Formats: sequence, structure tokens, C-alpha cells
Amino acid sequence: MNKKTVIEVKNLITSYDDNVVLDNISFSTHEEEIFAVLGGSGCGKTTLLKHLLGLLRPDAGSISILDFDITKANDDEMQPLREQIGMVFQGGALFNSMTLAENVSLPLEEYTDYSTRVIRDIVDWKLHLVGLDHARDYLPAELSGGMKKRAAIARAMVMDPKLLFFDEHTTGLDPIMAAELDRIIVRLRDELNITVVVVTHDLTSIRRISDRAIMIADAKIIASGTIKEMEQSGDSRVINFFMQHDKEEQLI
Amino acid sequence: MVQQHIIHISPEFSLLEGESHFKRIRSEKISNVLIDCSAVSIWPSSACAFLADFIKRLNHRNIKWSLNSIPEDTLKTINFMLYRKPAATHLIKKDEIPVVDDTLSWVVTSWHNIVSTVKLLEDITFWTLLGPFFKHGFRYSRTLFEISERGMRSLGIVALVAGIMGLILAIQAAAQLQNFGATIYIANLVGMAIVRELGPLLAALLTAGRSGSAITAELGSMVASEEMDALRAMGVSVTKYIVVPKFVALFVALPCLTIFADVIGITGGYLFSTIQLGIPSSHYIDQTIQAISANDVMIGLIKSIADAIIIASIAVHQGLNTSGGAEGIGRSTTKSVVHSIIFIAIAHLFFTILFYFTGHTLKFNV
Repeated sequence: MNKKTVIEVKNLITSYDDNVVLDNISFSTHEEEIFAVLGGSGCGKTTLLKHLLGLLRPDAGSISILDFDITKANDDEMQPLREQIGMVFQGGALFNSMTLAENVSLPLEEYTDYSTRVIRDIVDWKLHLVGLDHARDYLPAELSGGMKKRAAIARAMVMDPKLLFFDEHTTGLDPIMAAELDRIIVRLRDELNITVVVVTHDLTSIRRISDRAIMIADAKIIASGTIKEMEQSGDSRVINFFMQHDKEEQLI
Repeated sequence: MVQQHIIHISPEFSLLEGESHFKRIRSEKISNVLIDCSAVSIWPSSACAFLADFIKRLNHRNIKWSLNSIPEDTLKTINFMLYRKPAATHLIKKDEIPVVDDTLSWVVTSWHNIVSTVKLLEDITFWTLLGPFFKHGFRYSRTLFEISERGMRSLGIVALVAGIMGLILAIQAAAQLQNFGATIYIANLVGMAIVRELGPLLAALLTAGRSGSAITAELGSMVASEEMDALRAMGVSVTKYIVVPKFVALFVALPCLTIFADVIGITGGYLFSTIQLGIPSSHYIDQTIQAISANDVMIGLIKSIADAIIIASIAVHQGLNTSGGAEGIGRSTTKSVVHSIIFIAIAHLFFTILFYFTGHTLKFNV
């Protein structure tokens, strides 16, 4: 059965000052898929993610999300789409002056007319999903790195989005916590039927969770498909990336 | 055949040693050198770099050279230092863009800053005036918290500095007016100077230093930790959610602090005049009331409102445009305070000139 396309990027070109950082990028993701964007440090992964979120405008090309062209839309037109998208930033990006519960409830407070009790129930459920029932009244400063990431997932999930983005979700976590976070992502996808886009350089995590991936280097997509297909790619940069990673893993 | 001159590198080879070898080579007009490294057993990167530098100088003078007794790994390092290409970048150069000179670039950046600040002010005005009519359009509790943070918590320092300033003014005035037996006019001088100029100026400078810097640092660290991106990704207006409470707080707090600074400053002058100079308390108070009109107070308040807009818009603009992590936050905070002080001074000069020339006609009906 053909699955519906959720994100479609066509010929995306973007640059900072006079340097092209994304050059003619095209790919698409399907519903209920975990899609990974791979690449070394500074290759333009996060820039691509910011384009997908509508936080940056490309120089050329188009990005369609849930059948809506975001490249030409203004903030008001983007609003209904943003309510269907969740984003988990690298450091969590929780608001330090608010408790976990307040952080998670922010989108609900902003966009819904739900009563305080309903909001509390939803927030507690989302915190339960990520195993943070006990931490609802903690401030972000009182949490470990892994807890902050899980809280950020709870916040991203609170509006029941159709699409969830992760930026380097395993960065700064120990291998056990990284694996736990991967399990949470797969479980959320399976239980809630959402599409997940993960931007990372962590191959171990990608091998565990992704259905398909693209790899970016020198501002272009140099490989795409399943991880197995990518491993068989003839491109020396791809082989080098995989070999380097495997070597590091053996050292660990 | 040209004779090869042998140079023995010592175990502690340094730039200085390279320099002395090079001087000798030049003075003796040697054209072929054998660099003997047999005495060196350990090759730290610095020694490799010194040797590479020495060889580069030989190359520059077209002096032939060869190396003796050098480990293979060290040779690789030195070869890298000698022949590496400029670091390759994964970034592809776009078509050539004409290079603008520094002055033009400064003008363009300044224009960009002005345009973005005006846009920010437009957005702030919209959410401040119309926000209360939208659902969740205005954060009342946060605004009250900010007013307390920017206003109430500044009372101590404003009182201290304004009191000292009042005392200084009175002491300086006394030294002059005593010669003419006109010490009672200290009340006029202190009152007018504080209410029309020094009160608003003091309150504004202290607010720029205390609150403006805090706002910039707070917003800057939020930018650095991607909190602003998180808000935008959720579709929540940064201006509405973060900026407006701070802006409104300064708008309310600064005029209040100005009045407070006026009262404390005048009290400073009063205390010196009554205790030290023996001016009767009631005389001083009467004289002050006669000297200061509601018009003077209004002029001070107008200045303080302008100052609030200046401090808030500069602090917010600098905070939101922070880049470069911790160092960037420091840079933005410094810019915020420095720019605020400069623009406050310009604004006060502007108002003083304006009120000087329109002084006879501009009266507020209070």
C-alpha cells in the first residue's frame, strides 16, 4: 500500500552570505515513517531542519509539509500547520523560568480553550508517556540531560502532532539513555501513528530506529534509502562515514 | 660541485636557534644545507613547526636543503606543514558577490538595525495595545512580575544614587550661594535640576545598566539555548510572549522610578540645607514648592517615557539578535548598555533644546 507523502522537498537551495550550505536538496518522507537526516558536523543538517520548520527561508526550491507549501507562507498562514508539528531541540530548549508542567502545557494554554483540569490531565499523560510523572513541578535546571530531552518530547507531543522533528536527540546522553530515548521515539510512532524526522550524526541510533535516511555532505545529498542500501553505496564519503563510526564504536 | 654545509639541530631546537643558523647561512652565502637532526629524539609539534619555518625561509632564499636522521612520522608532519593546501571547505562559493567596503557595510548594517528595530516596535505596539483583546494576547501575571523586577527591585540603588546626587548638588550650590547670602536658593537649584534633568537621567542610566543589560542577557541566553526557536516552532509570537511584558514593565517602572528619584534627590538637598546650613525646614519646603511647577515634573516624565522606549527597544533588539554563544551574550549586553546610554544622552539633549526654545509656549495643563 502506498503511504501518503508528509514532507516533500524539491530542489532546495540555501546559503549564508556567499556560501551555499544546501545545494539542490530533494527528498520526501511518508506517513508513519521514521526518517533520518545524516551527516557530519556542520554539513547543514540543522539548517535543513530549520527550513522544514519554516524558521528559515530558502533561496530557491520548495518545501511542502502535509500538502502545504511553507516556502511562500507567512507566519499567519503557517499557524495551523505549526499546531500539527512538534519539535525537540538539541538541548531541549525548555523555558528555564517555568516548571516542567508549565513548559509542557504552554502550547495548550496558547491554542486551546481547555479548562485547567483538562490541561493538567493532558500534561500529566504526556509526562507519563516519557516517564516523568514525578518531575512535573521541577524546574529545567533541576533535571538531568536525559530528563530534559524527555520533557522536550512531552512538550512537542502535547498538541498530538502528525509530524515530530528531533535535532540531535542523543547528543550529550550516555548510551543507555540514548537507547531509552530511541525506544520512546519508536513507541510514540507505533502508538500514535506519527511521522518522525530525526536529524543526527549518531549512526547507532539511526540503525536502531530509522526506516529510511538521507546523508548530506558538501551541501548535497550523497546517499539515500534504507541504512543497508546506504551502506552499499559506492560513494567513498558514505563508506568513510560508516567505517569511522564503526571504528569508534569498537573503541567504546 | 657546490659544497654542502651541515647544520646540527640541537635537541631543544627553537625559532631563535633557527634564526641564528639562518643568519650564518646568509652571511656565509651558503647555497646548499644538510640539516642534521640526529641529536633530536623527541619531536613535539612545536619543534616540527620551528623546523618547517626554518625550511620555509631557506626555500624563500632558494637555498637547497636536505634532512638527515629524521623519523618518518616527523617528516610527514613537517611535509604537511610545508606543503598543505589551504583548508578545504564543504561550502561552495556562489557566484562572485561584489565586496562592499567597510564604510558601506557599516551603513548597510546600521540601516538593517534601524529597520528591524522599527519593525520590532511596530510589533510591540500591536501586541501591547491590541493584545489584551485577544485570547492569551497579554500576559498579565508575567507583566506584573516584570514590573516588580524592573521597578521595585531598583528602588534601593535609585534611592542611594539620587540621594547622593541631591547632597552633592546642595553642597556645590552652597559653596557658591553662601558668598551672596542666597543659600535659600539651594532649594530652587536642587529642585529644578533634579526634577527637570537629573532625576530622569539618573533613573534612566541606572535602568539601562541594571534592567536593560538583564533583559539583553536573558533574551540572548534564550536565543543561544534555542528557546526562541522553540517558541517560533510552536507558532507562539516571541514579541507577545517574551518581549511585551518586559517592554510594558519598563514603560511603567521608569516614570515611577523617576518620580522616586526626584523625591529622594530633593530630600538629599533638604537634609544638607536644614542640618548643615540651618535653613528652616518650612522655608526650604516652601521654596521648593514655589520653584517646581507641575510643568517641570511633566517634562521630566516625558523624558523618562522616551528613555523607557529607548532602553527597552535597544535591550530587546540586542538580545534577540545575539549570536555566538556566551561571548555573543557578553557582546550584546555591552552594546545594549552603551547604545542605551548614548541614545539617552541624545534624547535628553533633544528634549532640553526643544523645551528651551518652546519654553514660553509649551505648558502642560496639569
